[in-house]
Amino acid sequence: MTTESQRSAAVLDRELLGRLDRRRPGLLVGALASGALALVFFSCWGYQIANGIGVTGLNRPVFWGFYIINFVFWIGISHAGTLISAILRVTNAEWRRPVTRSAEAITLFALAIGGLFPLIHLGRVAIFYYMIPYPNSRMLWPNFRSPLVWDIAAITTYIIGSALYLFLPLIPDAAVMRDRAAAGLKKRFYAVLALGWRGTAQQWHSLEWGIRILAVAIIPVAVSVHTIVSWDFAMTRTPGWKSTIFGPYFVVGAIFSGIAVLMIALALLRRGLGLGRFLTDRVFNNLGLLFVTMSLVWGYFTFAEHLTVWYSGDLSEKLVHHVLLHGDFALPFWTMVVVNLVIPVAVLSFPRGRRPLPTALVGCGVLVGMWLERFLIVVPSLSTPRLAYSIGDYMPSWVELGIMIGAVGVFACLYFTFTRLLPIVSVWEMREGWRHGARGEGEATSGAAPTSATAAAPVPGGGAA
Amino acid sequence: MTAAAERHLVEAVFDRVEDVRAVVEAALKSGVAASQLEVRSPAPLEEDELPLPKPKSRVLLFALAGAVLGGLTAFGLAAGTALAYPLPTGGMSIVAGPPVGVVTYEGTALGLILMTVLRVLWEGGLLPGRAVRSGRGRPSDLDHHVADGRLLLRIHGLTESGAEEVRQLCGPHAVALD
Repeated sequence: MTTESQRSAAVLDRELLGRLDRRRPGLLVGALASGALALVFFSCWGYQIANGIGVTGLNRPVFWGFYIINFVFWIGISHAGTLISAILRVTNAEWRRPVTRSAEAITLFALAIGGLFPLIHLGRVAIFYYMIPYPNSRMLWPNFRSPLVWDIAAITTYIIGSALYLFLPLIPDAAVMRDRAAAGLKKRFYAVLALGWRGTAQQWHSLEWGIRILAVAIIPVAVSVHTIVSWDFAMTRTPGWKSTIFGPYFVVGAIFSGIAVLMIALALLRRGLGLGRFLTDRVFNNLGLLFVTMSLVWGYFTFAEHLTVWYSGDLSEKLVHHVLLHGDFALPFWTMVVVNLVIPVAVLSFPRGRRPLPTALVGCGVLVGMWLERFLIVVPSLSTPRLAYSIGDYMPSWVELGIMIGAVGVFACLYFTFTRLLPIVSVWEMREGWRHGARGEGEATSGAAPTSATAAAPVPGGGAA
Repeated sequence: MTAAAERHLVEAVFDRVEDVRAVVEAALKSGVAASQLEVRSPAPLEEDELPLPKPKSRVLLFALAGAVLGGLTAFGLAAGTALAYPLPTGGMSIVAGPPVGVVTYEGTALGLILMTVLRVLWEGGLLPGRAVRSGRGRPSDLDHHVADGRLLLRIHGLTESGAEEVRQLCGPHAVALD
């Protein structure tokens, strides 16, 4: 290490690790608010377990409602982290370094919440074990022909992979926290996480191999997860669902909504935790470009999907299409188009629009739009009658609304806890990136060494802090 | 005094990798074996930064083995289920390609991921109960320097005179002797 890297290390220590010891009132308020929402989530779920699935608005012919919409929505959000992080790692994008961990944490927590919704939808949660293949006297065995069982296989793989993909690069930072902590509970906690990491050449070498392999392996898994979620719909003969492009359409939508959450999270982290030196304008600019690209791709898929349905002339398909574009669901449909396509393109096409605040605001709109997209996939297809007697409408109950809103609180609660306990920006990866820059290997920091101990030390991600 | 008691450990803390390199080169010239040297760093070092043999890793090999194992297990589960619990298929094959393919695909990925992580932890001596050979990976009182961004050089298995010689090589960086 050079003396310059020592200065960089001091900056890292002060702004990343020292932050964990500081109390921030804003963080406390956020934690309390999210905790209250989490309480709403568990109360409503408890109420449903006690009183049965009849407390929801689900009824003939709409048996899939808010829970399935939210399942797809949260699984989509989970594509923010692991997939984006893996792509940036594989392409060796230097500016990824401050972003990856916060993104990977989003994946894990969103996936955990998304995975809960099918259980909530079951009503009788306790019978979930029917889906687990184990020899039993009642001859119960999962039907592997059902896409719902594929869901379990895919989501289980993705959640284990994402957790390990988050955990593996976390080990060296847990060791840093362990070695800095005073003896006590905190030290023991970090010691358990660090698993005896010492930073030897062998450990670094194996870790780098491991991260490289996981980054490559997790990309097809992430793609498969949302493709399989789309097949829950596309493998049926329901009008509006039976589509050959649902797989890629869902994957694109998932990445799009994932980036939206990432933009919001990064903007909040930058402002709330004072991470402007790491989460620079350049990071937001690059992610903003990715964001607008995904918006355009999503727009293209939406256009392709609706054009072919409209042109086919298939009566049952056209009925659903009509209620979407001109009927009862026209308002949410066109709102979705505006917030997912028109606004992102209008704002993010310009460099000034790719700053933290505009990108976060666009991200909020996109989240609403992507939730509406899932709503518009699930409900109109089921509520549009195909048989004379099969007429019905869907209105979510307060229990469903409570669980939906509360899920946001559970997610925020988990994220707050994570940022409170562990460095949300990877310390060792920042150090490595800085060293690459100092050695003239990196794109971000070369030729920008600090001139004094108090100078603004350049960090990977570059740009103005 | 037993043979083990005659062995000494010298530790030295450095700010600059160039200084570590100089000491490592001098130590190798003075007859210290590369296997006795251990450098702990706050971030991975490049191959050319220190004149030490590159660590070996079989993570990729184990990952591939894990993928094969996971794939076979998943295939066995999905295909075996279809055969053990045959459903009326209307003349179509009992073991259907798409479901078995999907489950096998996920099983392959899961096997690869699990085996990769297990192997990384094994090679790094991070699994509980994994013996750490020749004192490598054992905690040091100086580990907090690595956490602060410095480099820790540890030279194991030295004789008394060898330890003294290495301490002189390290100069002011040598902060501990035992």
